[in-house]
Amino acid sequence: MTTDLHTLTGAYALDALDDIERVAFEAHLAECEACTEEVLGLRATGAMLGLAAAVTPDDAFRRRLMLEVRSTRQQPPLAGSETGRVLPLLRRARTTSRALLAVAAALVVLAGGLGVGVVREQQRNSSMEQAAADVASVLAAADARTLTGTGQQGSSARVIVSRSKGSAVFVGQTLPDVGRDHALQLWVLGDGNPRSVGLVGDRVTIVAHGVKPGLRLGVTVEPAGGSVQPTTAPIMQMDVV
Amino acid sequence: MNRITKGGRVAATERRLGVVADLPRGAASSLEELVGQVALGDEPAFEALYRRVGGPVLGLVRRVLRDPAQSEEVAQEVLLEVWRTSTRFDASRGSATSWIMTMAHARAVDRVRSAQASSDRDQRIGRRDLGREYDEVSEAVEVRLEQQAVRTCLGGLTDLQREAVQLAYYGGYTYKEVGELLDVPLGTVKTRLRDGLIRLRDCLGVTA
Repeated sequence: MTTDLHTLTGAYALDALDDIERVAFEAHLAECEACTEEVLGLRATGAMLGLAAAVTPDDAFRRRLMLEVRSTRQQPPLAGSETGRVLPLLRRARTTSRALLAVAAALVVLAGGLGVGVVREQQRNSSMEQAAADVASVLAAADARTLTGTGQQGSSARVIVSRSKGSAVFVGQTLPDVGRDHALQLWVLGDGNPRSVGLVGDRVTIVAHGVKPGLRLGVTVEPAGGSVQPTTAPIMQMDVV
Repeated sequence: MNRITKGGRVAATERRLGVVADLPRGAASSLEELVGQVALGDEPAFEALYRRVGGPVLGLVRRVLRDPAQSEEVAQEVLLEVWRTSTRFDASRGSATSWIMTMAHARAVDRVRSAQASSDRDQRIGRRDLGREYDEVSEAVEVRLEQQAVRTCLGGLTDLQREAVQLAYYGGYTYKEVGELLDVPLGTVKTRLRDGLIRLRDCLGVTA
């Protein structure tokens, strides 16, 4: 554990890190029991600051909410193996796992603190270390640029593109919850047939290769497990520049 | 009940969200128990939970976002998320209050930072009126006690710690933005946020 990372517990607990640092810090948390304890306590402290801001909502707010509740399905509980120690700290972390975070944590050391997170699904089959190294190489590239994409329903994602590497790191931010039966899939568009990059979600980091200016990255809603070709129109698109 | 002693230290024997007088149901349950009932699809339990956390969630989101309509939208999202994911709440990893308020803060901050909100953001008022809204609040006695405790404990921080914590938490700024606003080096902001929160935690008697 580096001193530098440890001092980020406060900023992390207050949601005051930017995406890259947050992902790096979460990777660190996966390996640092003391930091996790501290973050839990500082988050609870933040919650007290939140309570102090309480207002009295009007009754119409309650009625609208209860109406929504009546028509909203609850998520199934997580299976035991899915609940890692770090999970509750992560925001909407349902797509992460401890093992993946540990890989990312190793990467943080490699990349000298410019860390990176959670790679999944498709990378899981190939070498995760390779995937993590890919992410690091994009982030470390001198020509790395950050783009923010927005789409329907307030959804957003961060993309870090390196022309020289021909790669882009996609970090899901506020992506819609599509439930169990569907998944969000990331594609490279604009170069013949759409090419699948992998499944994405909030706080999921994934690398797209063969990316160059003129192409686009797009996210579509697909059946669970993903599709070979997009079956719906993208809910979010980003031009690679 | 919470007591504030002479030294400004708050003794919290049982720190819970405000229990309002006219609670027909769930008033005697802990918030964690209510979340457990909500996880079984119990709508009245959710309504009881709402009566305890709805005001804090909306208040916090509004403090960060400022825009009333957007705040209601985000607060509703947060509370729906509580409903949807109550099945996955694990009390061994922090209190229900912490879980819910953490979610509310994260959502509010996400909204602030998404590109959509970037133009609104410039119009948000910065450090000038932080803390002003302490007085326009819920009437629940316990919430008032929490507010008093928080105010007292914030008073125990150094100016820099207090400003940094308030800008980050209520302002929804990143620590880098806080550094720019306060014109202090990043390393200093990081440590002041941490030191300040630790001091607050100890003063408030918070346990994770």
